[in-house]
Amino acid sequence: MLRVPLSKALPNAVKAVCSPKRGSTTLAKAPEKIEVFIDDKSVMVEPGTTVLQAAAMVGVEIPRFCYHERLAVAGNCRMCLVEVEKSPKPVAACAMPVMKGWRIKTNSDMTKKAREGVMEFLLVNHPLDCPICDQGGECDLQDQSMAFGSDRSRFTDIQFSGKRAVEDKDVGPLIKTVMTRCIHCTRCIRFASEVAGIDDLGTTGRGSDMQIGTYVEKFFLSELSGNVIDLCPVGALTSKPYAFTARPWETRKTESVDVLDAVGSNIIVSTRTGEVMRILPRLNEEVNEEWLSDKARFSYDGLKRQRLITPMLKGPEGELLPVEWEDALSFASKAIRDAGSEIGVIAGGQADAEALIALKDLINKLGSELVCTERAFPDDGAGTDLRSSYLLNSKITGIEEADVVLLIGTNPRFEAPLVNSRIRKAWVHNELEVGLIGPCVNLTYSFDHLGEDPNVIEEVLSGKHPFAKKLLNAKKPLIILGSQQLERNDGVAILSKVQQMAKHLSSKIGSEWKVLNILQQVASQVAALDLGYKAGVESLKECPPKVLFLLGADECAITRDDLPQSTTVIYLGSHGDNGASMADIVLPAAAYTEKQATYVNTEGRAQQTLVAVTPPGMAREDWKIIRAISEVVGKKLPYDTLNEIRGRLEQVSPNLTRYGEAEEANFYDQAVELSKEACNKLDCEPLEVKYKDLEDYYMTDPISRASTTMAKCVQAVRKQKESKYYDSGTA
Amino acid sequence: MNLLPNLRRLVQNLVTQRTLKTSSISLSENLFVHRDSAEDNPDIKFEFNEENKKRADAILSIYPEGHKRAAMIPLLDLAQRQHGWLPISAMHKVAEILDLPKMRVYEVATFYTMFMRKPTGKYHVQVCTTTPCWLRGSDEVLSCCKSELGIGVGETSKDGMFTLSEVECLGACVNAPMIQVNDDYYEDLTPETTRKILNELKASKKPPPGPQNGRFAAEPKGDFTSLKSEPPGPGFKMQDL
Amino acid sequence: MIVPYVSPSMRLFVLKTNMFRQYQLIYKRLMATKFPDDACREAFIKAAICKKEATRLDHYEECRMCLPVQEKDVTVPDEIADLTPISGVPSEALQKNIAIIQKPAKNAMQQGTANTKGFIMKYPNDVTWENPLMGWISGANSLKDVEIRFPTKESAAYFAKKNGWKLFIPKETPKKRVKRGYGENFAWNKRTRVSTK
Repeated sequence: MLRVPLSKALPNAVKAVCSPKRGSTTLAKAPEKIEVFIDDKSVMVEPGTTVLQAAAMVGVEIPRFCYHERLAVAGNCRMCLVEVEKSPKPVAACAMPVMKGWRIKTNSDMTKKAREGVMEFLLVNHPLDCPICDQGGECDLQDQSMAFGSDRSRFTDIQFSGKRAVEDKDVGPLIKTVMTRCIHCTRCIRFASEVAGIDDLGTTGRGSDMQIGTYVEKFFLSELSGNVIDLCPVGALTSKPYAFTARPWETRKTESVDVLDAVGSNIIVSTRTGEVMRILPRLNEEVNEEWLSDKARFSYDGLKRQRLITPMLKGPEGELLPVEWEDALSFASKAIRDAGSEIGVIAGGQADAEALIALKDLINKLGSELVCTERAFPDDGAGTDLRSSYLLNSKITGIEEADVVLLIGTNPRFEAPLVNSRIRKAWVHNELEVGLIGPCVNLTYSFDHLGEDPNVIEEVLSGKHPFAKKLLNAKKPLIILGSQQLERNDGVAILSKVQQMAKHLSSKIGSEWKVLNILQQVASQVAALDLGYKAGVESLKECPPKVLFLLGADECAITRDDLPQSTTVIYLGSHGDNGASMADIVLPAAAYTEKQATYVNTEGRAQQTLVAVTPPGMAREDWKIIRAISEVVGKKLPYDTLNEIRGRLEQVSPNLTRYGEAEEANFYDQAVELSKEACNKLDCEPLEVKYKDLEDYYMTDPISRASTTMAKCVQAVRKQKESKYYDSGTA
Repeated sequence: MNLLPNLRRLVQNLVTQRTLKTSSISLSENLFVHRDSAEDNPDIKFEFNEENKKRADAILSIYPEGHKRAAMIPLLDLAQRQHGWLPISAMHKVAEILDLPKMRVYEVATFYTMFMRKPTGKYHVQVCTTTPCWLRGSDEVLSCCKSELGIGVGETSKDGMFTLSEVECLGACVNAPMIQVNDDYYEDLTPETTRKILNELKASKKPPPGPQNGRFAAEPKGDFTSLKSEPPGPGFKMQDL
Repeated sequence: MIVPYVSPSMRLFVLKTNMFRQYQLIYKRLMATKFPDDACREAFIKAAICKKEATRLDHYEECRMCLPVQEKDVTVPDEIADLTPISGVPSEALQKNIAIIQKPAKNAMQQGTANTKGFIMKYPNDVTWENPLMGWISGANSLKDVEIRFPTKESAAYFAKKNGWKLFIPKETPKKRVKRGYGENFAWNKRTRVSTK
């Protein structure tokens, strides 16, 4: 064959290859679309688009192992090789930017041959243990070898040397490793270093000896570590708690929402034989992308332990005795009738909107206004009347657009891991600058630590602090205030200062950009405040009611010692935790996987959970229990079905039934004006956050406290801390 | 350490020979995970000495801001030269100097075969056994080394003086066969000259490196064989017009 | 005392709500609040009160509301033959259940997008119990296992309306395309240059 110099053969390609960088800067203003052909289908793409992405635009899926949209391009598995017309060799579609007029053939003989070759090499060292592999049935390697591999192998082990064997690594209680199955795609490494920000995984050795691992004996502990299980295209990294329990085709999948933090991550609950087998993330770009925090993913075993499965009454010796529903309801309603209007409610962190409204309606009907949430919120100023003061107003996606973020009194890494991963994403990709007022914790990205003293807020507000300049010069600044600070005595002052700061900044920008953000810690808080619950239990402590209703309240906001002996405590919830142990009447309710219920996340986004399994034993859906009590008490609530109670929800706050939508808040300026009037004195006490360390993250609510997996995680963190290889700076 | 290849060989001998032949998978003798040992664990601290600190600063100054991590290989090499081999604490030290996650240093240190991650003798004898050396008798050189030092490939002598390695081409094929001892090449070897070199090393003397058969470099042994005459002048072998 | 700040109709509204005392405080503070004009102030007060008021059940007229939650962009022709009398589905089942139409979620464990095209209409799970003999999962709602695939939302909604099924169409959460290049790994002095892989 006559060899033509490459520059002559590919005039366009070479020119474009030589100047992609310069081109991107000059073309940045008006990116002219270029035309390429995927299997003769024309598609217009922006310059710099890779072959693989261009193909995806016309619905052509190119097989891949190492490429993942949300991770850096590695280009090391070679599975995405495709033929480009006039190119002498196949090109790696994931890494190669398209050039004008390219004709890409994703199904040509050359492409097929390349894929078969790659597949053959991958399988040379991949064990044939699919029948005992947990990835079996949802394995990219399995599927792609079926679809793109050769139908026979040239690999004959004539020397009986066996396939390459790699020793398994112990990376913690969540991830099971079978490293012989690893195909070195490095997705887990890239995830760890880019998304999770924990650089503990890497490759050691070279050639056939290369292996993925931590090199030293060390756990891979991160609040997002479970995602590497999803990312692993083979069965090298699988879920340890899920190991050998179910096959993907046996399980029933239910689209639901996680309620273990206030992010409201979308999840899929896989169930079989009336049991939750595992929880996986579900794509929602606006909330969790396709990640899931470890607590949400692995604490499902807590749904099977410590459950309340039968109504209970306190016996003569103070022990709880199981009874029938009739008895429990009649006892409860007798106590309620006797109490008259002296009845109060504390709603816990995982109460759903339906239960919240039913209980509030019942209490209001009985003539009481004492409906409170466990978590406090300043009552002065605008209080909870204006939604803008308790929502993450800029939405989670807003974080990606921001250029400066000021975190006040929060550790988003453990309060809302997926909010933190967004901040980290912006930090990596948009050169985001972060400031932190509060305890200096490891957020997995660099930040300016402005101090722990709340008076720093004042300094930043007045512009004295050097960080104030950064905020003022920012085009899209964000302030994220941890809801925990609002529980302080000077909570209102902090809120007021932050609101003023936000107003000052947004007036400077003058656009629709929202600066003020409150990061809630529990899933029920926003719905409760939307429904008119009073935040905090102060009023209950002042005048203890005769009947106290705990709606899944387990945080010990009120203990038995705060109440007179005569107070009857009714606990309505799913787990035998702190709340049930102080109760006189225990009513077993459903956990979030067992009911169709509405939750509002910290952005104000209403989402619903669906029934994945039936509540265990005699447990029932929360709102139905309340509805039943109301009838026995004689104050019947006017809704019988889920639709009707949702109609009621809509009447109270229409945003609660606009599922998937995050309703905008308003009246920012008025909230500022109102809070100005309130007490404005900041304490000197330094800001404190509840979850400082990974150890604190795992067990925070009744479900995760009941989970053995989460307990093992805590144990693992403690063990890691004793290890010689523990690195407090990066863990 | 050599258990796996030995076992494989044993199995091969036991099982009836098959007529087909392929090259075997060549795996490294080294472990690619770290195991704490008495001489290699993070409790044994590593610190650059004063002289090497200055060298490290000089190395770092070569690389521009934002690319300081490129100094990793020179620094690891410096650490290895100071300590004789590369213990885990030295990797940690380099990570600390470069402000990098430790894993990034482990990756580099395990990738390059010239970083010795286990205790290595004062003299690291590396015998090249790649094709040109092999054709010129590297097998004899290797077996000479083995018998002379009393150790197998990948082992270190008891007195900590010698470590023997089998390596791939070191780029001295014109002077095959050859061994490398630390930084020095000893070329054009025979079992006799190899023995001589090793004995001198044992006596803590440094034999002169280079070809051991009298050659200066890669010139022909003895007399020149070609290009002996005067170079022809311009117009040589040109056609007459 | 609040009279100067609200119009007569507003005052009536406030008095009628019988929440006068509770709101005195907030009004006091509103006096100091700067509003661009009176209309704005009134709107604000009304919004604040409405929120408080709506949360009281006394004002809940027994409107047995059934939520026709449908996405705005789904249109179904008005005149459709009603098949409920002959479909064989018990009318109480149709009353009770709301079908969900959505795109099947991609399995997070895999990269492929097979089986995620089109729309699936299904009824949410209902109460189930373990069969005492075989340990199978039994249920009383035969509709819970109904899953029908449709190419579009409209066709699903059309079918549902024809058969008298109540519908819930959640907001779609499409995947965003992120432009990622190999060059980012080597970008000069950027944080994208984090990984070595």
